[in-house]
Amino acid sequence: MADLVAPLESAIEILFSGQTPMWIVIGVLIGIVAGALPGIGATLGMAIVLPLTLPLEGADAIVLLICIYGAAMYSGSIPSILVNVPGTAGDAATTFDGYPMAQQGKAINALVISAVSSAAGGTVAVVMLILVSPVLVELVLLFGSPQYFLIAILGIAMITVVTTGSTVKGLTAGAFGLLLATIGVAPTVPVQRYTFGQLALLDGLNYIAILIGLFAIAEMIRLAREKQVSRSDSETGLEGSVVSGIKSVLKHPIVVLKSSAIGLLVGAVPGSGAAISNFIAYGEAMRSSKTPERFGTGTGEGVVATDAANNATVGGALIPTFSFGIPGSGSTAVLLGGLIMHGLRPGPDLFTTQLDITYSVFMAIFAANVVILLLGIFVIPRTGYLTQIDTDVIIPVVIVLSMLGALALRNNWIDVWTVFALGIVGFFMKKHNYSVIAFVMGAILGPIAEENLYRSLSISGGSIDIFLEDPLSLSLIAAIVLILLGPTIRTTIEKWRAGGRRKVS
Amino acid sequence: MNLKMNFDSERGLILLFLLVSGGMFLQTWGFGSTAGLFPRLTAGVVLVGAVLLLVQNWLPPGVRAFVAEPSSLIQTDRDFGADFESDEDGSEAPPAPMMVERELDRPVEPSTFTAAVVGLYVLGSFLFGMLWVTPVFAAVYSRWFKQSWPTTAFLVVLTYLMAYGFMTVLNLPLNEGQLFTIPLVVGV
Repeated sequence: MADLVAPLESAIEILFSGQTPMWIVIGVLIGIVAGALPGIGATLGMAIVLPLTLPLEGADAIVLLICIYGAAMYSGSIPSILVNVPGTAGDAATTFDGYPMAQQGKAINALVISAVSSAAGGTVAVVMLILVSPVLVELVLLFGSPQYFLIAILGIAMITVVTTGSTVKGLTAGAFGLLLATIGVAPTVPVQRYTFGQLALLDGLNYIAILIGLFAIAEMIRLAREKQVSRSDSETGLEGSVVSGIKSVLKHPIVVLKSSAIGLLVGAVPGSGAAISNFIAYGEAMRSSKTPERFGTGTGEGVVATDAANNATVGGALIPTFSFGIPGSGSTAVLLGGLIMHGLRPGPDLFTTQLDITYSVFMAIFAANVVILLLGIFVIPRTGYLTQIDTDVIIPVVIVLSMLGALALRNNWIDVWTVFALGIVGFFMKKHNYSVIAFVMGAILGPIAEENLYRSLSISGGSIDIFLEDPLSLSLIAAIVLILLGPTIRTTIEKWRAGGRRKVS
Repeated sequence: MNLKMNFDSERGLILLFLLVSGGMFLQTWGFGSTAGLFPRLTAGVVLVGAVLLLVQNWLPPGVRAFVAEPSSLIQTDRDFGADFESDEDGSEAPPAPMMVERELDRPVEPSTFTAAVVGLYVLGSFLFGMLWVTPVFAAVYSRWFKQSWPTTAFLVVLTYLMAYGFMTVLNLPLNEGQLFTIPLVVGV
């Protein structure tokens, strides 16, 4: 425990020094707007802001991004409550009780419950995160080059099986991302690959440009097809009580704690994220409630469960991202891009020599939650109009910001063309259920995976036995095989069981 | 018609994977054993995956299930109606009751138009400078989607200011294009 104190003190110092407090507030404001605007959300908001963090200090940039992430996770509940449209998939379950509450004239109650439980869930997750970090340090230090290579493959494998689409589609998308990451000078030897003699391609495709294309442009092309139904059609009004909202959360401390733990655990599994944790937390709250019949009719308990869980997911998602460089979601993929862009390499360093930066990020989540709480209670109930902004206004603004951001990365037109080309590819990938996150992970993890593969083979003199020599590597290989074949095995078992039941009947 | 288009665009995507990875795979032999190993491995995986996806209809049922069927290991309770990708960015958000497919009296489908106009925006910016083409893009987009004139004017001004802000703060040569440079008169 004493080991925690010094880096925590250093983290608090970082957090309250220079311009960092300002970036926390700015991050929360951007996040709230991004989460509440139809079609934007955490990932897109972070992807657009990412190039703009170039002039910032590494810690400030990551603090800004993490605050956008946390705040967007919270504010996605605003449209869920007011217009029955989840701002992010992680807020979908909030509509079950949030929207009925708004229809009953308790929109302010629901918004305040959302803010308070989000802040509480996020805070509980941070405390848990700091407490488990010494264990994480021990775990991360067990990993060498062969294990880091294997865990990069494991991360992509996990993404492919927890997202929609078949395993082969996911693997193909992930490998395509890895392949695009090989463009440019090889990280191991000074050999140019796929540059066609162009200077602009020497440094390869920029993964942030890939991120912007896949998340921002692809999404805007998709969003252009849809139209938002006018708010005036809805009967919802901004009525209700702030105090009742706060009381509703205070009445359910166990739901907050349980949902936060669910959010943290589910968030730590790459690929699962808030879209799953909020449903699990909602289901668990309903199962253990004394009044389960009230769920779905506008009970505050349901909103407490979903919003505590989705904000705790932010903390959980940092575990694989910071320790192994495996992002758990699109948002953490952007965060990982930010870490690498600012010279912060996920892995042992972030838990040893740079532990103060890691803790400052954890503390930033805590500070962001305080800002969310204050804004959520005093400001948000008066800003429901955010959800009314027409997508036709949002789309050109996001496209322009994406292109400007891409050019700002390196003043290299290859990045702008990358954004455009991958925007089109990403649109069709989403349309046909190819995992865009696996693709992004491949593009980000490519150089890391290649370096570790090369280093491992150098150590072993070119023999692949190095991946089979120790129990940790063997466990990782077993996990990869199990994860890839898991869905097929499960389907086979289900069919076999169904066949058995038919015979019995 | 829609089914045919979906099928065709998916096949197009697979062909893109196939062509890109095939071309990249062949080139790996020129990189030497060290620099060529990783791209060869990844291109090989993409090639195999793309071929499997392309011929999935002719595969034996067991293999076809592995190649074509959704493979989610973690599932939320279907009673809640949740069935969307675990990306929390909202890009895979469920079909929301307040977002509907738009019907616009235009000859081109909205997504196709958006993709095309973004392509022209990038090309125009490359040739003439992003500072000048940005407000034109905003105006064209806004008029195509029948926004009011005040909204169009607002978008033109907003996007121009954004571009101007990027140019001045980050010192980007946004007023310069590859074809010719339009000198910046106002605000220099």
